[in-house]
Amino acid sequence: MAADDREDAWHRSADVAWVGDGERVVVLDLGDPTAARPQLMEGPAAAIWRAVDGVRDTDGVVSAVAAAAGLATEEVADDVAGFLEQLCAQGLLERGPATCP
Amino acid sequence: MAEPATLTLAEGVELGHALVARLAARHGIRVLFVKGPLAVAAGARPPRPSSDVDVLCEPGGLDRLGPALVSLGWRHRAPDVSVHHLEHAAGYLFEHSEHFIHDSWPCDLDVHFSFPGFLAPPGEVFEALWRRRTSQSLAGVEVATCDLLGHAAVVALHALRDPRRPRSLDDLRHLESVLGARLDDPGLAELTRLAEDTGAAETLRPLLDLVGAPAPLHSTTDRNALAQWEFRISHGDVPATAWLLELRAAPWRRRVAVVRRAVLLPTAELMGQHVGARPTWWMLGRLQAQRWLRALPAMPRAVALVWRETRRSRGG
Repeated sequence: MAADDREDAWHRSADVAWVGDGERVVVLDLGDPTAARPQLMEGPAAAIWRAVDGVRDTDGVVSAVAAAAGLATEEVADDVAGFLEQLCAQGLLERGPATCP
Repeated sequence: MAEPATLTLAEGVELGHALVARLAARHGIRVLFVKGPLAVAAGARPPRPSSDVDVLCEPGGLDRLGPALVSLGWRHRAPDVSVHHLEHAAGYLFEHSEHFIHDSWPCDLDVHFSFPGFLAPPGEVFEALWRRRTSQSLAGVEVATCDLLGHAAVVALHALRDPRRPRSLDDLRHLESVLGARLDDPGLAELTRLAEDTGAAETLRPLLDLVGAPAPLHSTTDRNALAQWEFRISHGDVPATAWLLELRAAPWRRRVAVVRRAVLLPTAELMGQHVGARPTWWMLGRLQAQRWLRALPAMPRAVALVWRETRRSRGG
């Protein structure tokens, strides 16, 4: 199976616009433009957002975030997994093959 | 871990493009993003920060996009712009867009219904640029924008409105360098064709000459519109000329209203030009007085220019 066909890979919703680099990311959910409010992610939250690339699953994101922070995966695993689920519940992230490039 | 964001200008500009693109798509309005970061990405403008989002709407699109933006909390920078009421002097102005602002966004949205210097009807201009459109990712969202030639035409026309300004000179030099390096003979011919198709064969002539593009064969440019463009470029910095042009051409019964509006700009419009200032009597008086002080010394020159231009337009 090709990496980008992974059923459990995380990708950003096609309805989300985002900008940022390093420590600061701002996302805007355009699913309903009338309700769109820019949301800020800083530090670890920004690192998690940036680690989502449409290929990595939860373990992959955990590994990427841990490596970037210089920590062991066990130290960040719960927080990262929890935040991914939270973003998914907000409609900012989706799991499975991306429907858009 | 995510909280409401206070946007920086750069963030606002990028996200603003995405927001307008999505809103326009939702309402079935064709839009093309021009200038700003997309012109930079296309190579048509030197890199520099942008303070607004520039978008060109298909004809009639602003009538739907404007209310859609208002429903999201955006509002007109100036609720009612006096120069939009000018009937006779409108052709001399570079008024071509409506500006929207929002308390939570640091950038303006500049929604164009036409673009100065393209002298063909707005529908023809939009279609000519739309046929050449491309797509670019901004803030993670694909937005429709001009190709290099379309951006080059827009950037050049913007620069040629005030060709003596240092930034205009930079932009024209940049275009000369980029187009010279990237366009072969067919590409240069395409640039000329785009100028012809948009009624810009004459207004873009300085760019065409600069990059060695072939001279236009078909110049369907409206001669009066071209004369108005040239008048504006040469004398647009002379205060009060638009008002005097309007006054000269208006029927007698409208002249009192024209003078009243020229002398005393409505409060909302005055404050729209000075966002953040408090509309106290003192502030309003000061801003009106500043306008008069700018206009009065220029009045003799403005009168002479308008007299000459009126003779020209009447075939004298």
